[in-house]
Amino acid sequence: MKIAPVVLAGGKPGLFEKLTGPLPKTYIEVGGKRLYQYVADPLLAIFGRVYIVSPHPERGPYIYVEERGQGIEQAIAAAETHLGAETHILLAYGDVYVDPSAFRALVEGTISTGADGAILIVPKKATKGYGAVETKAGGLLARIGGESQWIFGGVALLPRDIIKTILQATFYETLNEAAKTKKIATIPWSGVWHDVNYPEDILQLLEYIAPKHTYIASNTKISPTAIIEGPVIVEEGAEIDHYAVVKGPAYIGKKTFVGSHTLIRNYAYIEEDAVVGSAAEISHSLIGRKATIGRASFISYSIVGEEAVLEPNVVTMAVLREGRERLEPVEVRGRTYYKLGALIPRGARIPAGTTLKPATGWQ
Amino acid sequence: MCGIFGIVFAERPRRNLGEILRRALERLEYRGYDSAGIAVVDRGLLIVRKDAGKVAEVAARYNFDSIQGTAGVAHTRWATHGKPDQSNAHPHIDCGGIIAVVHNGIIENYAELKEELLAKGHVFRSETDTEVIAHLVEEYKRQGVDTFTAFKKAISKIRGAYAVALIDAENPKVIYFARNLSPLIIGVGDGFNIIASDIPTVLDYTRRVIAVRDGEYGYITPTQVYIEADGVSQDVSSRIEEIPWSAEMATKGGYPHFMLKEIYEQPESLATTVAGLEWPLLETAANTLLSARNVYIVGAGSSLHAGLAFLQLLLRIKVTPVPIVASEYATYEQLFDKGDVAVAISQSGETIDTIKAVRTMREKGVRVLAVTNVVGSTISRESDAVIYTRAGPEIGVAATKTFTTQVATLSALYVAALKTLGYDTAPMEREIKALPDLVRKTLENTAGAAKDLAKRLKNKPSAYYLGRGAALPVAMEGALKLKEVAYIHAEAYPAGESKHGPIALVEEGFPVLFVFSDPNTREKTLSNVAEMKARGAYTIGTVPMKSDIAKRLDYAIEVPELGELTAPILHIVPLQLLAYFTAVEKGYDPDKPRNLAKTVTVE
Repeated sequence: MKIAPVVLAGGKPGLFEKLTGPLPKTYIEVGGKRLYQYVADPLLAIFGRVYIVSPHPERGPYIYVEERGQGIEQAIAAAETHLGAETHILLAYGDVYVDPSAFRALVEGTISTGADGAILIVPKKATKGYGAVETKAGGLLARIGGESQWIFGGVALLPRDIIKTILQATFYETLNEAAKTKKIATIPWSGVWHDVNYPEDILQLLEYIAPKHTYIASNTKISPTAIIEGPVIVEEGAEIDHYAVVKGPAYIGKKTFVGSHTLIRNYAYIEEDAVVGSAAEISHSLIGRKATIGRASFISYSIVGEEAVLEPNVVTMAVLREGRERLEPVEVRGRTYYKLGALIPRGARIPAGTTLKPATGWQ
Repeated sequence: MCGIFGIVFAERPRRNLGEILRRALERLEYRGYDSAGIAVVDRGLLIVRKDAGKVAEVAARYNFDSIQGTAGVAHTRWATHGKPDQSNAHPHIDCGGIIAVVHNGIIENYAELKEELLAKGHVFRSETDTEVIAHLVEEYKRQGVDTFTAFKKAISKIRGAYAVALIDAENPKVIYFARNLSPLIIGVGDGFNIIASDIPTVLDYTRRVIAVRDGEYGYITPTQVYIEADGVSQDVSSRIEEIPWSAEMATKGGYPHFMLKEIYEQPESLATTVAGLEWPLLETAANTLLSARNVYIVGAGSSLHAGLAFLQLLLRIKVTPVPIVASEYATYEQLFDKGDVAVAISQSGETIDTIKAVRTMREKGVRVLAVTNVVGSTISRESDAVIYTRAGPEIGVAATKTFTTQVATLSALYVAALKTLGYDTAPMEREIKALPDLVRKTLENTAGAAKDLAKRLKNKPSAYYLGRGAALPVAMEGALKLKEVAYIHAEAYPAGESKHGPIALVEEGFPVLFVFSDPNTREKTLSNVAEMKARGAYTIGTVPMKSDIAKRLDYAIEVPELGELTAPILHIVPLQLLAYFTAVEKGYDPDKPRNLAKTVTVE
C-alpha cells in the first residue's frame, strides 16, 4: 500500500465569505495558520508529502493541485491525475479538524483487518440519510445514507481504482458501489473531531488548537511591566506594551501590537499585523490579520475579520440566555452555545461606543 | 483470542532470540494473558518453554532472555479449549518433538481429526484443538513429503478460524503460516522476516508489512516471503505496505480506547457466544435449576447485574432465586443446604468474593453452576458445571462485552428451561440468534445520541437511573458504568421506589434516566417520568424505537428492539456508550478508572 495523502481545501466560502472573501473557508487564518494546514501538517509529518486540492495555490511545503470544477468529486479526480505509483489515497477534508492519531488508526485498521480501504466514522445525533454510515458484519461499510448515528468523518483511505470512477457518480454513490464488491472498514473515532461548517464553529476550534506550551520569539518587544502567564505563543516582531496582561492559552501573531493595560486572556488569537489599543480586553476570540481593536473595547466569543476596524469602546455582549443560577445553552445549527458574541466581517468598521448584542452577525 | 509471533533470522541475532520473543509477547498480551510460551530452533534442536501465567512471570521463570537461536515462534493464550496450564500452553509439539505450532482461533473439527490421529498411534499431550496441527504435519511428513507440502495438506484438513505459525527443527530457517479469519501480519525485514497477530508488534523491527488474507498460507525464511492461495502462488512484492510511523505511535487496533473497542466488538463476541452455546448442557443445567430446593444467584458488580437480569426471567417460570451480593454471602449461610443450586457469575472466574461464596456453598452441599469468561479459572475448576461466555479478553476495566455475553448466555439458559418445560421456544431462539445484528444496529443508532447526551451530563454531579421489572438490572448496570468511568455519582433505583426518598434530591435540571426495556412496566414508569418532570428533573430515557414514549421525555435514545428477551442487552449498549463518551468529554481515561482493578482478588 503506497499512500498519497490528499487534503480537499477547496469549495465555496458560503457563510465564510464574510471572513475569507472569495477564498474557500479552509483559508481562514487561525493561530498563524490556515485551517487546512491543521489537517495537512500532521499528514506531512507522517507521509513526508501532502497534496492540497484548492483553487488558490500558495507557497508552502505542500504539493498544490489546481481544483477544476465544482464539488468534491472533481477535486478528488483532479488529485488523482497528479499521482504516481500510489495505490491508495488518504482523503481528508480540509475543514475537519481531527486528532492526528485518527490518520494512523485509519491506516492501521485497514491493514490489520485486511480491508481494501476504510473510512473514519464519528458519532453524531440525528443524521438520517446524508452522511450516515450503515455497517454490516465485521464492521464493514454497508452503505452511506439510510439510518445511523455514526456519520462519515471526512477522512477515508481508498484504493485508486475506486477513485478512478469518481466522476461517474457522487462521492457517496461511488463508496456505496465499492462497498458491494470491496471490503471497506469503518473505523469508529471518539477523539477530537471538529467539523468547521459555519463561522461560529471557529470558536470551538480555538480551544482545540490552543497552545500547550509557551513560546516567545527572539525579536519581540515585550515591556518589562507586561505579564505573560500560561501557555502563550508570541510570534516574531510582536510588541506588548506596558502593564498589558496576557493570560494563556493565547496567541499573539507576528508584528502585532498589544496596547498598555490590555488584558488578553483565554483562547484569544491576535493574528499577524493586528493592533489592539490600550485598556482593551479580549477573550475567546479571533482577531483577524491587520484588524484594529480600539481602546477600551471588550471582545469576547467573537470573530473580527481581517482589516476590520473597531473604534474605541466597542463592547460585544456574549451571554445568550441567563438562567436562574447558571448559564443556559442555546442551540445554534445543531451545536449548543452558552456564549456567542459578534461576527464582524472583514473590512468592516464599527463606530465608537457601539454595544453589539449577543449573537450579532452570524446568520 | 490469542496472540502469535514468529521471527526467523539468517544467523543468531545480536540480541538473544528469547528476548525478542519475550518483548513481542509483552506487546501481544492484550490478546490473551493466561499462559505464554516460546519455541526456538537452534542448531537443529527444538527448545520449548511454556507455562500458565502472565508473560512476565513465565518469561522470568524460564529465563526466556537467555535462549539463543535463529528462528522462533511465541504465543500468548486466551483459553478456549482446555484449561490454562503447562500442557495446554502453546507452542504444541508433535510426537517426535521436532515440530512446534502456535495458533490463534478455533479448529471446529479437531475432535474427529484427533481421533484419526490417535488411531494412527499419535500421542497427545494437551486438551487443545491446536495440537492436531503438529501431529497432522508429522503424519504427512512420515508419508514422505517435505514440510511445506505436509503443512499445506494439514491446513486443507482443518476447518474453523485460525492464524497458525509452525516451525520444524529439520528446516531451521523456515516458519510456515496460514490464516483464515484470524488476523495475521507479515513483517518484511532486512535479513529476517516476521509473522505476527498485529501491526504494532511488527513495528518494533520493521515498518514494511504484508497483511495475509483469508485462506492464504505460505512460509517465511530470513530472505523470502512466500504466499500461496488455492495452490496458486501469490505476488508478494506488490503487497508490501510501508507503515510510516513506529510502534510507539501505534494505536489500539484503530480505536482510541479499549473500552470503545470492546463496546464495538459486542456484535462479534455475541456471535461467538451464541454460536458456542451448548444446548444439551444448558438443558441439563436448566433441569437442575427447576428441580432445586433453593436457587441462589451470586455475583459482584456487573456480573451481579447480569444475575439480576436472569432472576427477572426465572421468576416468570416460578423459580424464586435468592440474589446474593458475593461479599455478603455469610448472611445467607444458614440457608445453604443439599438440594440447592447456585448460579455463580464471574467474568474472570477469580473474583475473591464469589470464590469464597462458592466454596462455602459447596461445603454445605449446594451444587454450583458457574458462568465465566475464563476457561480453567478458579471458579470454573471449583464448580460442578460451567457455562463459558466466549467474549474474548476484556482490557477495559469497566465490563462491557462480558456483561452482554453473560446476559445472553443466561437468557439462553432460561430458554433451555422453557424448553424442558415443554414450551415452544423457537421464536426466542431466533431472537437470541439475531442478537449480534441487533446490537450492531443499536450501536449505529444510539452512538450519536449518547455522545450528545454526554456533553449535557458532563458537568452534572449526580444522576438517577430508574427502571421497573426487567429494566431495573439494566438501570443498575448503566449507573455503575457512569460511576466507574465518568466519576459521576449515579444511583439506580426501582422507579416506583424513587418517590420514597430519593426524589427529595431532585431539583431543576437534575438528570434522571429511565430505562424502558421492559414492555410490561412501561406505563407505570411513565407516571414516574411525570413525577420527576414536575420537579424540574431533566428526564432522559432509553426507549424502544417508533414508540411515543420519546415525546414524554426531555431526551430520548431510541433503541431498536426485537423482543422482550433481548431488550435488556440492547438497552445497555447506549448506556455503555454514554458512560464512555462522558468520560472522554471530561478528559478521563475510560480504560483505567481510578481506584479500580479489572479483577478483584482481595476481600
